Amino acid sequence: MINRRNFLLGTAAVAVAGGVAACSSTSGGSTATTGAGATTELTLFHRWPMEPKNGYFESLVKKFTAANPGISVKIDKVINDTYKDKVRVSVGSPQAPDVFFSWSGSFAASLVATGNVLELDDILTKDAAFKSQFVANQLPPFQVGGKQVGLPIGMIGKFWFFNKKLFADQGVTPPQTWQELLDAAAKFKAAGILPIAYGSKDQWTIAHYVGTLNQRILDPAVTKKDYEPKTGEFTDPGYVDALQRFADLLPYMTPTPNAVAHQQARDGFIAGKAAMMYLEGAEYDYFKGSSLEWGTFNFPSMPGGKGDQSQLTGAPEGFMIAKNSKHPEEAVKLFKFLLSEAMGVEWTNQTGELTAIKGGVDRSSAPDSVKEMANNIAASSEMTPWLDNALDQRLVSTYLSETQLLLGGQKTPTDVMQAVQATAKKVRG
Amino acid sequence: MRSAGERALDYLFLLPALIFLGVFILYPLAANVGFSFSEFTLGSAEKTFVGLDNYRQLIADPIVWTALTNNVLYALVSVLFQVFIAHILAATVLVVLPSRLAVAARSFFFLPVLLSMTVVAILFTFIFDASDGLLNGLLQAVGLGQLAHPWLGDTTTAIFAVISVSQWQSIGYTMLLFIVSMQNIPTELYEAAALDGAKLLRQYVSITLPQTREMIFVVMVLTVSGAFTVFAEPYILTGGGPGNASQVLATYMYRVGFFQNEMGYASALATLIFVITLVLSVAQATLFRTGKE
Repeated sequence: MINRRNFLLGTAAVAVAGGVAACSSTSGGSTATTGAGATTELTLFHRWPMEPKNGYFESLVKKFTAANPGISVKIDKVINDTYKDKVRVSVGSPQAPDVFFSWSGSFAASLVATGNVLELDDILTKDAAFKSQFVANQLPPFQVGGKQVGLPIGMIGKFWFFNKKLFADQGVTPPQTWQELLDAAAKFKAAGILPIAYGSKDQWTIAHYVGTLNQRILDPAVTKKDYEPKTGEFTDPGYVDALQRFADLLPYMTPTPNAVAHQQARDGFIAGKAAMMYLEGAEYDYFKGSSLEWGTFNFPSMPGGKGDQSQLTGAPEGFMIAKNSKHPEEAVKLFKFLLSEAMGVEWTNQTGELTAIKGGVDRSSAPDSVKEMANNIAASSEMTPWLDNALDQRLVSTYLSETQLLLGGQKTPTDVMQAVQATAKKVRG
Repeated sequence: MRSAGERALDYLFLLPALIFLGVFILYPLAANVGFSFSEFTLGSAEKTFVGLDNYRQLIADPIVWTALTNNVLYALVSVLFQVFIAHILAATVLVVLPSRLAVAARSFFFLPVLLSMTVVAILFTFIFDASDGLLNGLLQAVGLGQLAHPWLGDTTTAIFAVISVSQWQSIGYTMLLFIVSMQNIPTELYEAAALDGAKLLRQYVSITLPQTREMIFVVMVLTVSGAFTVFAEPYILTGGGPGNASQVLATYMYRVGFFQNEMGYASALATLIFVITLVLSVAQATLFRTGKE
């Protein structure tokens, strides 16, 4: 009897323990690279589970652990949109990764709000050489409340890419003004060529157009006030005008863009089926292996626009350190290695992304046109942040969904801005 | 007579299940209701008590109504396909088809169930694709090109395209459940009915239907509560778009919580989903008066 009971008690205990163990195991893909005789394990969390970037980080960690015996690094990775959700949860938790990826702007601020992001000012003051290696205009987007909270790995700028062959065939030169863009588009359309490849099924693509149009058309003082959650009203007629300009492009864009994913539209452009596309600089990496001859031009100037007509849209992305890391010294070591000059050049060589290291792209094996893009970004006095990084997320949600309906023909620019104004009122609180 | 010790042991056996239920179901449920009265963001532990504000916002939010309408549509279409049509299909496969063909048909209908929902949804984005999609290609090939449509990119058709994917995937599963329950009906009943001159249709109405009532109830509950908690299909196929046209409660809850970073409001939406599924399950249990059989 005693024996049977003990056995059963044991079984129950095992069952409970099993349940507890099951819930403590973490989910998500992860790989651990263990150095010989490792004593300290760091976690690196990034957003690129696919090649070539996945492999880049694996080789980076191998180099790091070889140079730093006694430290091992576990890499966690989750793709884009899921990364946004997961990193916000995990950084605020006791199991926070030690070093992790972040976008700049409002996204960085949302991570800082978890209270677990290390301020880097001390580190940068002590190591001035480390600080000075970055392209200067790439640092402010990673400042929150005047403190440097992250450092850039790559510069991202948005450019119009064009198909050189189609442009030459139709005798079109890269448009400088909005009217020239419309004229060029009309010419392609008349010749039976899709002028602009565009897919708006992914709502972030809308943010890139609208963000740039707002910047070109509106007075910077107006957008500054409206993009601030506490004071945003969005009553300036310039916002309606910007959406109207966007809608004016629709006849020249991929038909029913709401049914087309960004990647699908880009594939069409790469295949030579469209004359132009508004893309991120680093997307040229997808053109490798195709016969596409391409060039870039900046977003055209808008008639009567009140913003800087040559400003580039884009923002750096980079990494942060957890304030509550159990191994702060080792974490800083990994962080500095990750963002070192040598690794920066490697980043451009292997992934096509534009490193934020001064002159890094020039020293890389990237094509000249890419070096030119990098120099354009570095020379830009100020960058227009992505609309979805600049606004409160509730406003982003309304702005993008409503504009998607504008593209589908169900809403007018005025309708969209009315909805945005209503959300802005709620956000003002 | 069992000793007190043995009775205590009975409860000990219940302990793992109780702990499991408590930790993974009851506690999160109660915590969620608590969260729905506060305002907080992801990652930050600070919560501000806001009383019924989230519920007021919920009633005034037009997207909640769009989502709710879409869920109701989902439920109606799902009941039609996964209960009524699946039941008829099960009877057909079991009775009408010759046995070899029946086995083949059963596998044919069941195959989609084995595929991961994610795979199915991605597959259907190719089928519904506006320019190179299989569906539009098929329509053009048979001379119905004027019906070709950007199925997922149009606010009027997006939700129906999404719903149809779920039917394609799930009908085989409920059909199999019905087949199992039909196989448990004593054959004497059919023999007696045949002696009385009842034809197949009459047998179906008078024997098969009432004898599988319990299973119809179970499938009904599964289908309807499934329709109100559906997430993967709309999330992958349309992301709730265009605009919010194909948003359902679960995708909207996800968007509010993880994208808009309003966890309190998302908790209120979660509570709404829970209340709806609870009320529907209780209502159906009462209507069918089962559970004691």
